[in-house]
Amino acid sequence: MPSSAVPVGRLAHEDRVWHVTWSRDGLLLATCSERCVRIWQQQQQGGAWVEACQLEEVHDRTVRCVSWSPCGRFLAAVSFDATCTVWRTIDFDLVATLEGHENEVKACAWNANATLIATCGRDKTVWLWEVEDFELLTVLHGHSADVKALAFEPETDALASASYDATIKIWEDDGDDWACRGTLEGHTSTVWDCRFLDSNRLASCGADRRVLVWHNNDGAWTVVSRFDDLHARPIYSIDATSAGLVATAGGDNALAFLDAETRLLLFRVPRAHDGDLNCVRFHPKDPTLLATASDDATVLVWRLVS
Amino acid sequence: MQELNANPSIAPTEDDDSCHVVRVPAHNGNHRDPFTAAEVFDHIRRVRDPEHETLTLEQLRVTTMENVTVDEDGDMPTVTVRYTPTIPHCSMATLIGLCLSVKLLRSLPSRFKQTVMITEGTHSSEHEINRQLADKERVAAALENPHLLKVVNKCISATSHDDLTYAHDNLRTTTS
Repeated sequence: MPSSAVPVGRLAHEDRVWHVTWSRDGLLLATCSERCVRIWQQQQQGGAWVEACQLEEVHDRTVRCVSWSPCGRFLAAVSFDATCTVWRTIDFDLVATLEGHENEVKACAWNANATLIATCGRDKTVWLWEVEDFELLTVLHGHSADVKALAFEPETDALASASYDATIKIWEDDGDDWACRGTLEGHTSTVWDCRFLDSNRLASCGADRRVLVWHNNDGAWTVVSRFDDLHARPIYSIDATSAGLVATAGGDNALAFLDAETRLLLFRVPRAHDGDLNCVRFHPKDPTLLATASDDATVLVWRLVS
Repeated sequence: MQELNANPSIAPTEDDDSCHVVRVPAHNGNHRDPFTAAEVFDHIRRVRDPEHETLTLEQLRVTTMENVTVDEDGDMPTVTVRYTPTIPHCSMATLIGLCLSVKLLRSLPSRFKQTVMITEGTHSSEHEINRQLADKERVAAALENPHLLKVVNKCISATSHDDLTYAHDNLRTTTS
């Protein structure tokens, strides 16, 4: 397990950066800031990150979240303008605009084999779209306030949704229909993000400055670890590697790393940025690399050191 | 549900000449005096009430210097502003909080973490409004609403000292 993190790349923006996502091979990054999505690439192995292109003049309000499809072929972007756009990554042509949400769309996620896109937002709903024809599959109702984040479980396609209503809901397809299979109550305020560690474990973080690790025992989800003092402000983002290394990013400008197996705090980077951290995402192939997006108008790429 | 206070009580305010802020030209070097509550209060005292546009929040006693806290000692400088709606069911309470948040965002150096909240026990929806104001995503989305932004800008216009430079406010960029 690592003991420190060193910044190895800096992607300068003009405004607050809300989100960052790696391409499947980890060679590209997509970021969103204001109304614009930017694609970045490394000049050479270990070299500086440079902007490759901008996807602009499509969304006329803030782009809140971007997500690269696991197949590598698509990039999805969701906006406060109530739409989700899907871009073909070979040439960054717009291939679909998913419309239906009543107002701000706040997050999007792909299932592992990239047959489904999920979107969620202020209208309290989660929408599932089929990638084959970009048609709506179903709308999931259940949350009582805006839905902030989504995560698919890679093996089972279970979907977790995190909400302002302080709960996480688990949705599954029983072969007939998608339905809510569990409501996880343990946070005391907005749940800002959640990620599956494996098919039976989920990590979540929120405005209550709490990180929870949940375990599923035959459909009953219970908290198995709880961290209360990692951050001094809301925790906006969480990600995990397959080895159980968990990273959290907070409104206190700090980054923290936990070991989900030993349930120990590994280390913190107190002044990772000069503003709130809005997003943290691990490199898809190299678990010693990660990217963070911040209100300080930068994205940093970090190398973990053992 | 809509409730307005038609006849609020109005408190006298200090003359601008007597306000507590020391303004001196920017100077070179890294010395920086600590921020004071008086200085933060000076940024927000002239914010106007959305309901009574001729009155400031100071005149209505919605904001007072005693309800401004500045903590620059720790790792993370923070400013906390509590405000007191004139009546416990005031339908404008969220909007007033939004105006204060925007004014602080535009006035304070970015190193400050700010919290705007209702004075404990002074509004029937205190908890709900505090949560909304603390949700940066909702605040960002609200400020993209042109109608709302117009109202907010109207309430916070004539509050800034753009022509003056604060001694320790060199980090500040544009304020409006």
